[in-house]
Amino acid sequence: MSASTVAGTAPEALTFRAMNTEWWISAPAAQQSVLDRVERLVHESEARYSRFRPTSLLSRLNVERRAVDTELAALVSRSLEIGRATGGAFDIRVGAAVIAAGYDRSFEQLPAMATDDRLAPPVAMLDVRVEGDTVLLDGVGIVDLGGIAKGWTIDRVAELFNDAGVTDYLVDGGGDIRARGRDSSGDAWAVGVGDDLAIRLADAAVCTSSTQRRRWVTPAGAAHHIIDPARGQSAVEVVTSVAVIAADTATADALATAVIASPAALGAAGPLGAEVLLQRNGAWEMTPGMESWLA
Amino acid sequence: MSHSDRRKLVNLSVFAVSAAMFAAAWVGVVGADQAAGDGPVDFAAVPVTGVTTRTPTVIPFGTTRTVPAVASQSSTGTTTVAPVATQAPATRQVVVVRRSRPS
Repeated sequence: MSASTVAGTAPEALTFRAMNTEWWISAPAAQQSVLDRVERLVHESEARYSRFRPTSLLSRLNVERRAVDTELAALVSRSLEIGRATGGAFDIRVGAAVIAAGYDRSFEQLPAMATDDRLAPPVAMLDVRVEGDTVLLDGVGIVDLGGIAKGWTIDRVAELFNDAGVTDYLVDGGGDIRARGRDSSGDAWAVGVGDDLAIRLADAAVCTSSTQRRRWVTPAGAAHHIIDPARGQSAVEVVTSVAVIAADTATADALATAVIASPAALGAAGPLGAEVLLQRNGAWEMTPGMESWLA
Repeated sequence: MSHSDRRKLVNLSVFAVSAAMFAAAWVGVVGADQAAGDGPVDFAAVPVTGVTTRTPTVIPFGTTRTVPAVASQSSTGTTTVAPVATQAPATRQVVVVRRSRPS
Protein backbone atom coordinates (compact mmCIF):
# COMPACT_ATOMS: atom_id res chain seq x y z
CA MET A 1 0.00 0.00 0.00
CA SER A 2 1.41 3.36 -0.95
CA ALA A 3 -0.24 5.32 1.84
CA SER A 4 1.88 7.75 3.79
CA THR A 5 0.99 9.57 6.93
CA VAL A 6 2.01 12.81 8.53
CA ALA A 7 3.59 12.73 11.99
CA GLY A 8 2.05 11.57 15.22
CA THR A 9 1.06 8.23 16.67
CA ALA A 10 -2.42 8.57 15.22
CA PRO A 11 -2.26 9.41 11.52
CA GLU A 12 -2.90 13.10 10.97
CA ALA A 13 -3.67 12.61 7.33
CA LEU A 14 -3.68 9.83 4.80
CA THR A 15 -2.06 10.93 1.56
CA PHE A 16 -1.70 9.10 -1.70
CA ARG A 17 -1.99 9.67 -5.42
CA ALA A 18 -4.92 8.45 -7.52
CA MET A 19 -7.00 9.69 -10.45
CA ASN A 20 -4.01 11.72 -11.56
CA THR A 21 -4.16 13.91 -8.47
CA GLU A 22 -3.21 14.07 -4.81
CA TRP A 23 -5.56 12.79 -2.11
CA TRP A 24 -5.42 14.07 1.47
CA ILE A 25 -7.74 12.52 3.98
CA SER A 26 -7.97 13.44 7.64
CA ALA A 27 -10.05 11.33 9.99
CA PRO A 28 -8.34 11.56 13.37
CA ALA A 29 -10.46 8.88 15.03
CA ALA A 30 -10.36 6.38 12.17
CA GLN A 31 -8.50 3.15 12.64
CA GLN A 32 -5.71 2.33 10.22
CA SER A 33 -7.74 -0.55 8.83
CA VAL A 34 -10.49 1.88 7.85
CA LEU A 35 -7.98 4.19 6.18
CA ASP A 36 -6.57 1.22 4.28
CA ARG A 37 -10.05 0.43 3.00
CA VAL A 38 -10.50 4.06 1.99
CA GLU A 39 -7.38 4.11 -0.11
CA ARG A 40 -8.29 0.79 -1.67
CA LEU A 41 -11.75 2.11 -2.51
CA VAL A 42 -10.33 5.12 -4.31
CA HIS A 43 -7.93 3.03 -6.39
CA GLU A 44 -10.70 0.61 -7.25
CA SER A 45 -12.93 3.48 -8.28
CA GLU A 46 -10.23 4.81 -10.58
CA ALA A 47 -9.86 1.36 -12.10
CA ARG A 48 -13.60 1.29 -12.75
CA TYR A 49 -14.26 4.77 -14.12
CA SER A 50 -11.06 5.87 -15.85
CA ARG A 51 -11.40 6.38 -19.58
CA PHE A 52 -7.62 6.07 -19.90
CA ARG A 53 -7.62 2.42 -18.86
CA PRO A 54 -8.74 0.08 -21.64
CA THR A 55 -9.88 -2.51 -19.12
CA SER A 56 -11.92 -0.17 -16.93
CA LEU A 57 -15.62 -0.72 -16.53
CA LEU A 58 -16.22 2.57 -18.33
CA SER A 59 -14.00 1.63 -21.26
CA ARG A 60 -15.75 -1.70 -21.56
CA LEU A 61 -19.11 0.07 -21.53
CA ASN A 62 -17.99 2.36 -24.33
CA VAL A 63 -16.77 -0.56 -26.42
CA GLU A 64 -19.43 -3.15 -25.67
CA ARG A 65 -22.25 -0.55 -25.36
CA ARG A 66 -23.67 -2.38 -22.37
CA ALA A 67 -22.58 -2.94 -18.80
CA VAL A 68 -24.28 -4.58 -15.86
CA ASP A 69 -23.13 -3.03 -12.60
CA THR A 70 -25.19 -1.66 -9.73
CA GLU A 71 -22.90 1.21 -8.83
CA LEU A 72 -22.23 2.24 -12.42
CA ALA A 73 -25.97 2.26 -13.04
CA ALA A 74 -26.47 4.50 -10.01
CA LEU A 75 -23.65 6.82 -11.10
CA VAL A 76 -24.99 7.12 -14.64
CA SER A 77 -28.52 7.66 -13.33
CA ARG A 78 -27.33 10.49 -11.11
CA SER A 79 -25.37 11.95 -14.02
CA LEU A 80 -28.48 11.93 -16.19
CA GLU A 81 -30.50 13.60 -13.41
CA ILE A 82 -27.97 16.39 -13.08
CA GLY A 83 -27.85 16.66 -16.84
CA ARG A 84 -31.57 17.30 -16.93
CA ALA A 85 -31.39 19.75 -14.01
CA THR A 86 -28.71 21.78 -15.77
CA GLY A 87 -30.51 21.86 -19.08
CA GLY A 88 -27.81 19.74 -20.66
CA ALA A 89 -24.84 21.82 -19.50
CA PHE A 90 -23.59 18.73 -17.72
CA ASP A 91 -23.57 15.81 -20.09
CA ILE A 92 -21.61 12.58 -19.77
CA ARG A 93 -22.02 12.02 -23.51
CA VAL A 94 -19.18 14.45 -24.25
CA GLY A 95 -16.59 11.68 -24.35
CA ALA A 96 -16.01 11.93 -28.08
CA ALA A 97 -15.81 15.72 -27.93
CA VAL A 98 -13.26 15.59 -25.12
CA ILE A 99 -11.08 13.32 -27.23
CA ALA A 100 -11.62 15.40 -30.35
CA ALA A 101 -10.52 18.47 -28.41
CA GLY A 102 -7.20 16.73 -27.89
CA TYR A 103 -7.67 15.35 -24.38
CA ASP A 104 -7.19 11.79 -25.51
CA ARG A 105 -4.82 10.54 -22.85
CA SER A 106 -3.99 11.15 -19.23
CA PHE A 107 -3.31 14.87 -18.95
CA GLU A 108 0.36 14.62 -17.98
CA GLN A 109 0.94 12.72 -21.22
CA LEU A 110 -0.58 15.35 -23.49
CA PRO A 111 1.85 16.92 -25.94
CA ALA A 112 2.32 20.67 -25.85
CA MET A 113 0.47 20.88 -29.15
CA ALA A 114 -2.22 18.40 -30.00
CA THR A 115 -1.66 17.34 -33.58
CA ASP A 116 -5.15 16.22 -34.29
CA ASP A 117 -8.26 18.30 -34.71
CA ARG A 118 -11.00 15.81 -35.20
CA LEU A 119 -14.70 16.44 -35.31
CA ALA A 120 -16.85 14.81 -32.68
CA PRO A 121 -20.39 13.61 -33.22
CA PRO A 122 -23.00 15.75 -31.46
CA VAL A 123 -23.96 14.41 -28.05
CA ALA A 124 -27.51 14.00 -29.28
CA MET A 125 -26.35 11.12 -31.44
CA LEU A 126 -25.75 9.03 -28.33
CA ASP A 127 -28.57 7.66 -26.21
CA VAL A 128 -27.69 6.58 -22.66
CA ARG A 129 -30.24 4.51 -20.76
CA VAL A 130 -30.29 2.81 -17.40
CA GLU A 131 -32.52 -0.21 -16.95
CA GLY A 132 -32.15 -1.62 -13.48
CA ASP A 133 -28.47 -2.44 -13.05
CA THR A 134 -27.80 -2.24 -16.77
CA VAL A 135 -26.37 0.75 -18.61
CA LEU A 136 -27.02 0.80 -22.33
CA LEU A 137 -25.48 2.99 -25.02
CA ASP A 138 -27.17 3.38 -28.37
CA GLY A 139 -25.90 5.47 -31.24
CA VAL A 140 -22.60 7.22 -31.89
CA GLY A 141 -20.29 8.54 -29.20
CA ILE A 142 -18.89 7.55 -25.84
CA VAL A 143 -19.44 8.35 -22.19
CA ASP A 144 -16.97 10.33 -20.10
CA LEU A 145 -17.48 10.39 -16.33
CA GLY A 146 -14.61 12.82 -15.74
CA GLY A 147 -16.97 15.53 -14.53
CA ILE A 148 -18.47 13.50 -11.73
CA ALA A 149 -16.52 10.30 -10.99
CA LYS A 150 -14.11 11.86 -8.51
CA GLY A 151 -16.90 13.51 -6.57
CA TRP A 152 -18.84 10.27 -6.65
CA THR A 153 -15.81 8.43 -5.28
CA ILE A 154 -15.43 10.93 -2.45
CA ASP A 155 -19.05 10.29 -1.52
CA ARG A 156 -18.32 6.56 -1.37
CA VAL A 157 -15.43 7.32 0.96
CA ALA A 158 -17.76 9.36 3.14
CA GLU A 159 -20.19 6.44 3.22
CA LEU A 160 -17.39 4.14 4.25
CA PHE A 161 -16.44 6.44 7.11
CA ASN A 162 -20.08 6.80 8.17
CA ASP A 163 -20.60 3.04 8.14
CA ALA A 164 -17.44 2.61 10.21
CA GLY A 165 -18.74 5.04 12.81
CA VAL A 166 -16.22 7.75 11.93
CA THR A 167 -18.02 11.06 12.42
CA ASP A 168 -15.21 13.59 11.93
CA TYR A 169 -13.38 13.58 8.63
CA LEU A 170 -12.28 15.64 5.65
CA VAL A 171 -11.69 14.02 2.29
CA ASP A 172 -9.74 16.07 -0.24
CA GLY A 173 -9.47 14.45 -3.64
CA GLY A 174 -7.41 16.85 -5.69
CA GLY A 175 -9.29 19.86 -4.40
CA ASP A 176 -12.76 18.32 -4.38
CA ILE A 177 -13.62 18.21 -0.70
CA ARG A 178 -16.23 16.66 1.53
CA ALA A 179 -16.17 17.14 5.28
CA ARG A 180 -18.23 16.07 8.24
CA GLY A 181 -18.01 16.90 11.91
CA ARG A 182 -15.08 18.87 13.24
CA ASP A 183 -11.34 18.97 12.95
CA SER A 184 -8.95 18.06 15.75
CA SER A 185 -9.26 21.52 17.28
CA GLY A 186 -13.03 21.22 17.58
CA ASP A 187 -13.91 23.66 14.82
CA ALA A 188 -15.95 22.82 11.76
CA TRP A 189 -13.52 22.21 8.91
CA ALA A 190 -12.37 25.45 7.29
CA VAL A 191 -11.75 25.25 3.56
CA GLY A 192 -10.42 27.94 1.25
CA VAL A 193 -12.38 28.81 -1.89
CA GLY A 194 -12.05 31.38 -4.62
CA ASP A 195 -9.18 33.82 -4.35
CA ASP A 196 -9.08 34.13 -0.60
CA LEU A 197 -12.38 33.29 1.01
CA ALA A 198 -12.95 30.56 3.56
CA ILE A 199 -16.01 28.46 4.24
CA ARG A 200 -16.99 26.10 7.05
CA LEU A 201 -18.04 22.62 6.00
CA ALA A 202 -19.85 20.84 8.82
CA ASP A 203 -21.42 18.16 6.64
CA ALA A 204 -21.18 19.08 3.01
CA ALA A 205 -18.96 19.15 -0.05
CA VAL A 206 -17.26 21.81 -2.12
CA CYS A 207 -15.78 21.43 -5.60
CA THR A 208 -14.02 23.91 -7.83
CA SER A 209 -13.69 23.94 -11.59
CA SER A 210 -11.65 26.32 -13.68
CA THR A 211 -10.72 26.81 -17.27
CA GLN A 212 -7.23 27.71 -16.12
CA ARG A 213 -6.28 24.09 -15.37
CA ARG A 214 -5.72 21.29 -17.85
CA ARG A 215 -5.20 23.51 -20.84
CA TRP A 216 -3.46 22.67 -24.06
CA VAL A 217 -3.05 24.00 -27.56
CA THR A 218 -4.66 22.67 -30.72
CA PRO A 219 -4.26 23.80 -34.32
CA ALA A 220 -7.54 25.66 -33.80
CA GLY A 221 -6.28 27.47 -30.72
CA ALA A 222 -6.26 27.06 -26.95
CA ALA A 223 -8.40 24.33 -25.44
CA HIS A 224 -9.31 23.25 -21.95
CA HIS A 225 -10.90 20.18 -20.47
CA ILE A 226 -14.45 21.44 -19.90
CA ILE A 227 -16.58 20.81 -22.93
CA ASP A 228 -19.74 22.74 -23.74
CA PRO A 229 -22.00 19.86 -24.78
CA ALA A 230 -24.06 22.14 -27.02
CA ARG A 231 -21.01 23.02 -29.13
CA GLY A 232 -18.88 19.95 -28.65
CA GLN A 233 -15.87 22.16 -27.98
CA SER A 234 -14.07 23.67 -25.01
CA ALA A 235 -16.48 26.02 -23.29
CA VAL A 236 -16.25 29.72 -24.08
CA GLU A 237 -14.48 31.28 -21.12
CA VAL A 238 -17.17 33.54 -19.71
CA VAL A 239 -17.12 31.89 -16.31
CA THR A 240 -13.52 30.98 -15.60
CA SER A 241 -13.71 29.64 -12.05
CA VAL A 242 -16.55 28.12 -10.05
CA ALA A 243 -16.81 26.78 -6.50
CA VAL A 244 -19.97 24.84 -5.65
CA ILE A 245 -21.17 23.76 -2.21
CA ALA A 246 -23.67 20.91 -2.09
CA ALA A 247 -24.79 18.16 0.23
CA ASP A 248 -22.80 15.60 -1.76
CA THR A 249 -19.61 15.80 -3.74
CA ALA A 250 -20.94 14.29 -6.96
CA THR A 251 -23.49 17.08 -7.26
CA ALA A 252 -20.93 19.76 -6.44
CA ASP A 253 -18.45 18.28 -8.91
CA ALA A 254 -20.95 18.03 -11.75
CA LEU A 255 -22.54 21.42 -11.20
CA ALA A 256 -19.14 23.13 -11.07
CA THR A 257 -18.38 21.61 -14.45
CA ALA A 258 -21.79 22.57 -15.80
CA VAL A 259 -21.56 26.23 -14.81
CA ILE A 260 -18.24 26.55 -16.63
CA ALA A 261 -19.74 24.84 -19.67
CA SER A 262 -22.79 27.10 -19.63
CA PRO A 263 -23.48 29.85 -17.08
CA ALA A 264 -27.20 29.17 -17.59
CA ALA A 265 -26.65 26.09 -15.45
CA LEU A 266 -26.68 28.42 -12.45
CA GLY A 267 -30.42 27.97 -12.58
CA ALA A 268 -29.89 24.43 -11.33
CA ALA A 269 -28.23 25.54 -8.11
CA GLY A 270 -31.53 25.98 -6.27
CA PRO A 271 -33.14 22.72 -7.39
CA LEU A 272 -29.95 20.84 -6.59
CA GLY A 273 -29.61 22.47 -3.16
CA ALA A 274 -26.29 24.04 -4.07
CA GLU A 275 -24.60 27.38 -3.55
CA VAL A 276 -22.18 28.86 -6.04
CA LEU A 277 -19.26 31.26 -6.00
CA LEU A 278 -18.00 32.11 -9.45
CA GLN A 279 -15.68 34.38 -11.36
CA ARG A 280 -17.35 35.81 -14.44
CA ASN A 281 -15.59 38.24 -16.73
CA GLY A 282 -13.06 38.75 -13.97
CA ALA A 283 -15.56 39.65 -11.24
CA TRP A 284 -16.65 37.43 -8.36
CA GLU A 285 -20.32 36.67 -7.83
CA MET A 286 -22.15 34.31 -5.54
CA THR A 287 -25.59 32.91 -4.87
CA PRO A 288 -27.24 34.60 -1.88
CA GLY A 289 -27.06 31.49 0.29
CA MET A 290 -23.30 31.23 -0.13
CA GLU A 291 -22.80 34.01 2.38
CA SER A 292 -23.99 31.84 5.24
CA TRP A 293 -21.20 29.37 4.52
CA LEU A 294 -18.42 31.93 4.66
CA ALA A 295 -16.18 31.64 7.70
CA MET B 1 -28.13 61.77 -22.90
CA SER B 2 -31.61 60.36 -22.66
CA HIS B 3 -33.52 59.88 -19.46
CA SER B 4 -33.11 56.14 -19.90
CA ASP B 5 -29.34 56.47 -20.18
CA ARG B 6 -29.15 58.65 -17.08
CA ARG B 7 -31.26 56.11 -15.23
CA LYS B 8 -28.87 53.33 -16.22
CA LEU B 9 -25.91 55.34 -14.97
CA VAL B 10 -27.59 55.96 -11.65
CA ASN B 11 -28.35 52.28 -11.27
CA LEU B 12 -24.80 51.43 -12.17
CA SER B 13 -23.48 53.82 -9.55
CA VAL B 14 -25.72 52.32 -6.90
CA PHE B 15 -24.54 48.87 -7.83
CA ALA B 16 -20.88 49.90 -7.78
CA VAL B 17 -21.13 51.56 -4.37
CA SER B 18 -23.04 48.64 -2.90
CA ALA B 19 -20.58 46.13 -4.28
CA ALA B 20 -17.68 48.15 -2.95
CA MET B 21 -19.25 48.36 0.51
CA PHE B 22 -19.87 44.66 0.51
CA ALA B 23 -16.38 43.87 -0.67
CA ALA B 24 -14.88 46.16 1.94
CA ALA B 25 -16.71 44.27 4.62
CA TRP B 26 -14.75 41.18 3.62
CA VAL B 27 -11.29 42.68 3.51
CA GLY B 28 -9.59 40.14 5.69
CA VAL B 29 -12.19 40.58 8.33
CA VAL B 30 -15.53 39.34 9.41
CA GLY B 31 -17.59 41.07 12.03
CA ALA B 32 -18.22 39.36 15.32
CA ASP B 33 -21.93 39.22 14.59
CA GLN B 34 -21.26 37.39 11.36
CA ALA B 35 -18.94 35.00 13.09
CA ALA B 36 -21.69 34.11 15.52
CA GLY B 37 -23.77 33.13 12.53
CA ASP B 38 -27.45 33.79 12.08
CA GLY B 39 -28.01 32.06 8.75
CA PRO B 40 -29.77 28.78 8.06
CA VAL B 41 -29.07 26.32 10.83
CA ASP B 42 -27.60 23.70 8.57
CA PHE B 43 -25.17 26.08 6.94
CA ALA B 44 -24.49 28.48 9.78
CA ALA B 45 -21.06 30.02 10.02
CA VAL B 46 -19.09 28.71 12.95
CA PRO B 47 -17.35 31.05 15.39
CA VAL B 48 -13.64 31.22 14.94
CA THR B 49 -11.35 32.25 17.73
CA GLY B 50 -7.72 33.01 17.24
CA VAL B 51 -5.30 31.27 14.97
CA THR B 52 -3.79 27.87 15.41
CA THR B 53 -1.32 25.97 13.34
CA ARG B 54 -1.92 22.28 13.29
CA THR B 55 -0.08 20.83 10.33
CA PRO B 56 2.40 22.07 7.76
CA THR B 57 -0.39 22.11 5.22
CA VAL B 58 -2.43 24.69 7.12
CA ILE B 59 -2.66 27.93 5.22
CA PRO B 60 -3.00 31.17 7.19
CA PHE B 61 -6.01 32.94 5.86
CA GLY B 62 -7.00 36.54 5.81
CA THR B 63 -3.67 38.16 6.40
CA THR B 64 -3.17 39.35 2.85
CA ARG B 65 -6.70 39.15 1.57
CA THR B 66 -7.43 40.94 -1.65
CA VAL B 67 -10.81 42.36 -2.33
CA PRO B 68 -12.99 40.47 -4.76
CA ALA B 69 -15.83 42.40 -6.28
CA VAL B 70 -18.71 40.39 -4.94
CA ALA B 71 -22.29 40.52 -6.02
CA SER B 72 -24.92 37.88 -5.53
CA GLN B 73 -26.32 35.57 -8.14
CA SER B 74 -29.82 34.25 -7.83
CA SER B 75 -30.56 30.69 -8.78
CA THR B 76 -32.48 31.91 -11.78
CA GLY B 77 -29.40 33.50 -13.22
CA THR B 78 -30.36 37.10 -12.47
CA THR B 79 -27.62 39.11 -10.85
CA THR B 80 -28.65 41.15 -7.85
CA VAL B 81 -26.74 43.25 -5.38
CA ALA B 82 -25.62 41.25 -2.39
CA PRO B 83 -26.65 42.22 1.14
CA VAL B 84 -24.18 44.69 2.58
CA ALA B 85 -22.67 43.96 5.96
CA THR B 86 -23.27 47.02 8.10
CA GLN B 87 -21.49 46.21 11.35
CA ALA B 88 -17.99 47.49 11.96
CA PRO B 89 -15.57 44.76 10.96
CA ALA B 90 -13.26 43.25 13.54
CA THR B 91 -9.94 41.85 12.43
CA ARG B 92 -9.59 38.14 12.66
CA GLN B 93 -8.01 35.29 10.81
CA VAL B 94 -9.35 32.00 9.60
CA VAL B 95 -7.06 29.05 9.31
CA VAL B 96 -8.07 26.80 6.47
CA VAL B 97 -7.24 23.14 6.63
CA ARG B 98 -7.45 22.59 2.89
CA ARG B 99 -8.28 24.61 -0.19
CA SER B 100 -10.84 23.67 -2.82
CA ARG B 101 -9.13 23.95 -6.16
CA PRO B 102 -9.55 22.77 -9.71
CA SER B 103 -7.71 19.60 -10.53
